[in-house]
Amino acid sequence: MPEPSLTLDSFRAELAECLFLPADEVDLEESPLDAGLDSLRIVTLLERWQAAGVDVTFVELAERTTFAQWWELLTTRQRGAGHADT
Amino acid sequence: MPTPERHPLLAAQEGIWTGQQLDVDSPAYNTAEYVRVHGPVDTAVFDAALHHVVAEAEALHATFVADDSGRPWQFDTPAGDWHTHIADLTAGPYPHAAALAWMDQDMARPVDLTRGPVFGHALLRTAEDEYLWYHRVHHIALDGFGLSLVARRVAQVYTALMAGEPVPDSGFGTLESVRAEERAYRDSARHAKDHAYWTDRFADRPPVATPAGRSALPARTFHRHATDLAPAEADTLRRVARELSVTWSEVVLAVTAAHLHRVTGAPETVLSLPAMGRLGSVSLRVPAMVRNILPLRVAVTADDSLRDLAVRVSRELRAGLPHQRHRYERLRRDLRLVGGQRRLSGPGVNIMPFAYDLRFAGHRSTVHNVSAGPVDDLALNVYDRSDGTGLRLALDANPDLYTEGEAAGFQEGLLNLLAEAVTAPDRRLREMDGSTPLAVPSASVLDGGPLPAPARPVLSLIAGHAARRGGAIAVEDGDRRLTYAELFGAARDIARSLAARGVGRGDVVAVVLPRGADAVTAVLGVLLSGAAYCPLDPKAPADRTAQLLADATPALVVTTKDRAPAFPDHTLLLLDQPITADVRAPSGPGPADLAYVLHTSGSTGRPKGVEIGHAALAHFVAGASHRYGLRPDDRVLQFAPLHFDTSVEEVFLTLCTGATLVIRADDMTDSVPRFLDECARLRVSVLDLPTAYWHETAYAVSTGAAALPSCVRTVVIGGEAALPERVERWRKAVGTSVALLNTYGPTEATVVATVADLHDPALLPGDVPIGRPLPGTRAAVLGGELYLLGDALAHGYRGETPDNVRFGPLAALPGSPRAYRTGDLVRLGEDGQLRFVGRADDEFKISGHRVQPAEVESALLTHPGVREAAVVGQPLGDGTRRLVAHLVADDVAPSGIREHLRAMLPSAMTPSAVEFLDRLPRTASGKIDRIALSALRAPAAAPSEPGFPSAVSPLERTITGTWQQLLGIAAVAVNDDVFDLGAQSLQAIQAANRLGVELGRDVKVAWLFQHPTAAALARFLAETETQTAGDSDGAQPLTPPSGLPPTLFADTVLDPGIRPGIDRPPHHTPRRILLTGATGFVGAHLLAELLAATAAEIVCMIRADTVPEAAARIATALARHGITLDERTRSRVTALPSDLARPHLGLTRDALGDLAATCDAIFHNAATVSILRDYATLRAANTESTRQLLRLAAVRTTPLHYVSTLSVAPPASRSPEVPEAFLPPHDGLRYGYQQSKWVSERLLEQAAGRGLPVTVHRLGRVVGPSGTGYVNEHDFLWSVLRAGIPAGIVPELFEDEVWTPVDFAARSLVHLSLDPAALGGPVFNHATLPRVRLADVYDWVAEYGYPVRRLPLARWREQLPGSADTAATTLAFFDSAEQATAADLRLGHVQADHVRAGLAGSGITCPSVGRDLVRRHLDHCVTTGLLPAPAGGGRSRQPS
Repeated sequence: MPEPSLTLDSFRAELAECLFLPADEVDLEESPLDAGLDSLRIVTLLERWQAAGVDVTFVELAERTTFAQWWELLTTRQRGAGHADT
Repeated sequence: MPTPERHPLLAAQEGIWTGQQLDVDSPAYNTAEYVRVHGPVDTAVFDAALHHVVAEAEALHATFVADDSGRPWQFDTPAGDWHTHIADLTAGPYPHAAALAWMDQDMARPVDLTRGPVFGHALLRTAEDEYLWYHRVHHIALDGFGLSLVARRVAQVYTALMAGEPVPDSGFGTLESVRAEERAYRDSARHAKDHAYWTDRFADRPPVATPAGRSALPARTFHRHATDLAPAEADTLRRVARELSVTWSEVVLAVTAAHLHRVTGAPETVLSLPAMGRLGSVSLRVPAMVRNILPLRVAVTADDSLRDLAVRVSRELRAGLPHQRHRYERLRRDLRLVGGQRRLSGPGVNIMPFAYDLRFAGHRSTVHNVSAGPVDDLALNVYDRSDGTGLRLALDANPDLYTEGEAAGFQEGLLNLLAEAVTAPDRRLREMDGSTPLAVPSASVLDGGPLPAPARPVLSLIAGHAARRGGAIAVEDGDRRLTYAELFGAARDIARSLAARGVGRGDVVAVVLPRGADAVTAVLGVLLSGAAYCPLDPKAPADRTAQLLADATPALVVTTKDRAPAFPDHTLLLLDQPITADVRAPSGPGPADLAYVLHTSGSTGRPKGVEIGHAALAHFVAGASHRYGLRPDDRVLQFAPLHFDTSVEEVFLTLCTGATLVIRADDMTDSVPRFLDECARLRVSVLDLPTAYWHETAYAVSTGAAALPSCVRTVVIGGEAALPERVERWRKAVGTSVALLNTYGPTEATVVATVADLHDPALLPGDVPIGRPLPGTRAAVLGGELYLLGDALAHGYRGETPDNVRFGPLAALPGSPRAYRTGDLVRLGEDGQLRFVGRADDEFKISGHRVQPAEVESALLTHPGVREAAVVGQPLGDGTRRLVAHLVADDVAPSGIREHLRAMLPSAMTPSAVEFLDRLPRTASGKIDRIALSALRAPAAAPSEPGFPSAVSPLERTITGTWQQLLGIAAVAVNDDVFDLGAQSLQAIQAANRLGVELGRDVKVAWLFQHPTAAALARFLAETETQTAGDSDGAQPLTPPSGLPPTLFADTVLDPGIRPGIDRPPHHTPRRILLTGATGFVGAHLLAELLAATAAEIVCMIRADTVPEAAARIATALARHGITLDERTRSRVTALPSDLARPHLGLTRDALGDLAATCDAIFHNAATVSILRDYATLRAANTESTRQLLRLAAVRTTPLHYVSTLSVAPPASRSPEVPEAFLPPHDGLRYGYQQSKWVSERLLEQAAGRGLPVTVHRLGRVVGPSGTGYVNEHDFLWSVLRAGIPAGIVPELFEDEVWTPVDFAARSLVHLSLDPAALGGPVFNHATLPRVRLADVYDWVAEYGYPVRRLPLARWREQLPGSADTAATTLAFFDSAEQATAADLRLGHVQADHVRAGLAGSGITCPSVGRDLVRRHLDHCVTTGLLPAPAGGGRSRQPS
């Protein structure tokens, strides 16, 4: 089975894992900086999303200041966009 | 050319700039990587791509120059014409190794930031289809991420060019956007929040443990040990990290912290984490230097598992990361963790997760780091290799701290631990194998070795002396002498009398007696009764005594009748009353019984009583008396009062050895000379001094104001850290034959725990260890903190106090032995000696007293007007501290506060200064911010204010200056009562001592108490001076020879405020040099030589009103001396209009400040040369200028080189030799010029003594350069010749003298001053050439064609026709009656070993000075019309 497409739920779940939070407590308006993310964690997430078919770079993620903006970016870059649930 | 635009540096760049300035020629800030391209490369296209990208990267077109105030700027400077180094190495046998070797060489070249370029590129072919692209950039331009942006872009451009496609846009942002963002951040609320987070997290400034146990500046290079983790190992690491819900980098951090714990034993490690600092920032798209460092605290215990640690690391990191933009350098500064051994964090861990997957025209590549910048300590670099082969770990080590073997061992241990920890993440650290690779046990333990013999109870030893040598003198107190038999008998009577009152074992007896034979007897009596003694200060405030009595709960108080009313609630034994004794002998103490209880400052706000048992006392006496080498014939001074534990050492070591205890009388310490005289009279052989008092003694002895008596064979010091400067003075003055023992020990470990031999000739200057443990004592160092172990430890503190946790088992050592945690931070040297570093808590010492701020604060809070109080020990410039109280209070006067405290606390605990605040600064967690408080008022080194009212006399100024320095107050007025300003008695002793030295007379301490204002003291001193002048025995050490101008001696006193200021790193290549007197004969040649020998800007102070006028004067002078400069060189000469004879050198304060901040060296050559003028008219230009320049030089400890004259020396008739050393006053100082130069030298002598880097260059007769024959027309001898030759007569002036050609003098002087390899000095006599005999000179003059007759001086003068020509002044000189004895002008043998040694190997030599030179000089005189051509046409021999 190919990797399932990225969904908001899976996005939240992956962030939650990085942030040691339950998925429903992830605040999408928080900034990656304030959340205490480091480069390695961002790279780890990036690699997963790239593997899921999202064409996005480290700089593009790192320069955005909320997780909501990340989600926005991911949905526009997803190959075969349109699957994304919003 | 338009001036390039300049910009302030980014904060990260400033950090790099500062680091580079510590060692400007260091290449350590070069960072580099190479990219291995697996495939063919078109080198021409690659080169084009590199030029394309460099042109786009703004950061690479920069130079960095500091302005006059020392502030660095980045200038937009195009990199210009640069080349890629392209080489094909495949022809050689080892292409890859050759490539790496080339890189090493390239990396070793320092970058000149002022010139650029800051980068370099190379393309090295290492195989048929393999190229290494090497990319080096100075760290000030790019950080690692910036480097990666450039690399990515090069790949992109190369690929496009190869494909013939248009090059896409770089997408790089501007540096200005990064600067703007940083400015905005600095003013943001976020910055304030970040600042609060870090200052709070590090408010306690945790000790930083490293395997080396010390820190060093980054070296120019580092050792690197790289290891690859196999893919399987890397996978395990990643898997375990996932299981633990952390990242693999956090696992690496946890294991690094754990390994550091194993190696150092420290309970906490602080790692340094480079952080990208770019999240959410515009700098993600700008190649620039913005990276930061995060300090990461990790507590580690042996019971932690990897799981515990990884989670702890992860939490700490996530708490800190949101604050990653706050600058590390700023935090260090705010926490005062800059300089010396202070640091904020230790080994670095640099995780580089960026797997560059760069493709060059489709060809794969791998990236390899060459250097990530300088290595402070250890740095673990971890790279995620992009080729799927796992992780690479490279450990970099500072070679100044670690050998290659140690670094390799550290890495091996780390990898072993990593492997074991990921296999068993729940295994506790203590259960893990892991060899300890550095030869450092988990705690460094120092063992003083066994006691020479079993410890025997002190009473039994003393009883033994009483029995066997009963007639020997035990105690001498003034006229009173007690033999051992008498002492023991009297003590037994007291013991019986105590027993009669039911006092015995288990009891405490307070002893409230002044130092004296009775006190010693009482102490022994108490001990014989079986009770312990508790000494209380008979002079303490009543409240304080009450507090200590409440704590000690004594069964009885031993005192005298006059003090009895102070103890209404206690049973008393009055020593001056008949004693009723019980007939029964008391049982005496057992080894487990207490011997004494002594109070020391407590962190809970109350003093705490330390309980020392008999076993501990016996143990200490056995170890210390052996270590000190005490003998029965010794006479030991009892300096300390009983309530200081030093008295235990003095009394018991002496009496247990059977030696004589000599009691110090109170007035013995009136002045240091008096003290030492008394020691001589009392034949004291062993002195045990508080370090603070010894500092004064060392100072007085070093200046000759007092001498150490020959009977003293051992001096023991202790109580606080000895100042290296005083140790040096002492060693210079006293030598190494007298034992100087530096002792260290808290009361809790029975007086002394470690001892160092400071008289050991092998000790390096400036090194003041506290040594090794006494026999029978052990010391352990954990995390930099000292723990003491052994049988000399106290039972503990009396009563319940949280401080008792300081005593406990030390789990880090086998068997968990009982230890005392001192709170003192130390460093263990390779020589096995301990060195004191600082305190782990707020405690500090004032005049040898331990002061816990909490204790003073709780006393302050008992004042009804005080609402909040915080006390800090403010460090003063000379290494001591003063106590400052910061109060929030309702309308109370500082004097009221001090009065209140004086009633409660010993004087050392009474603050010197009381400051009122609206509120106390607090950290985010609500703790008092002591760091901010210390910063509230920076202690001024108190340069005496130039703008001081002129009504103040020099004597008053000397007194106020001394107090300003001692009290750390910027201004003390002549009518200020120094005791109101917070002066303490030790400071009065210091002031008396320093004044005695400065004034060259005895100044008694009592006088300072009697005359507490400068005005009153000055008046008193002036009166006593006139009185003692008539005394027959008024021998004063510095009695001026008669006939010298009275102002002369007042001028020889260098203001106390002139002391070394900010320490500067030595500049091997000075950038800015200040020169005075550049228009003179020597000065013009000095200017030329400084320009030739350095690349520095030479700032010439010229007497002129405007810059053009000053510049014109320099140009005229250079032209006159035939010195030509090319345009480039001329641009390095700056003319500074000024006037040395005026206050502030005729400059504004700003201009003075600028000079102080920017000049790297000062050459003071200017002087008004006149053989006729008297001292008073020369002093401003010649002497005061030296003082002013010394003040300027002191600000940043700038070297000052002084051009002096051999004529300051006494003539041969008075001294057969001219030493290469500073000269005491002598009666050969007869002329104003000579006097003015001598006084300048005296000032320099004091400056040198205070540690300012100065040199003095004495020149003889400076004649024209060996090549040109130019004659200095102002020269005395040539004036004589020019007057005499036309008349055909010359005078017999002297036999011979030292001549030095000016060019040789200038070259020698500059070399000796600036070449760091040229050692010696500070005084240099430039007299290495054979002397020139005057008779020969006259022969050569005759040979030249001038017939001259030689006449005695007086007859010559008589026969010389009256003349109004230029020689008139010279002639007038001879007219003054006294000058007839011209033989006095001749000097004795002039020592010049310093110059000879300094010039050895420099290649600086001088053609012979003799006939040829004199001929050329005569030629010059004829050519320029100074002399008529000789009748015989002699000059034809020298074709022109």
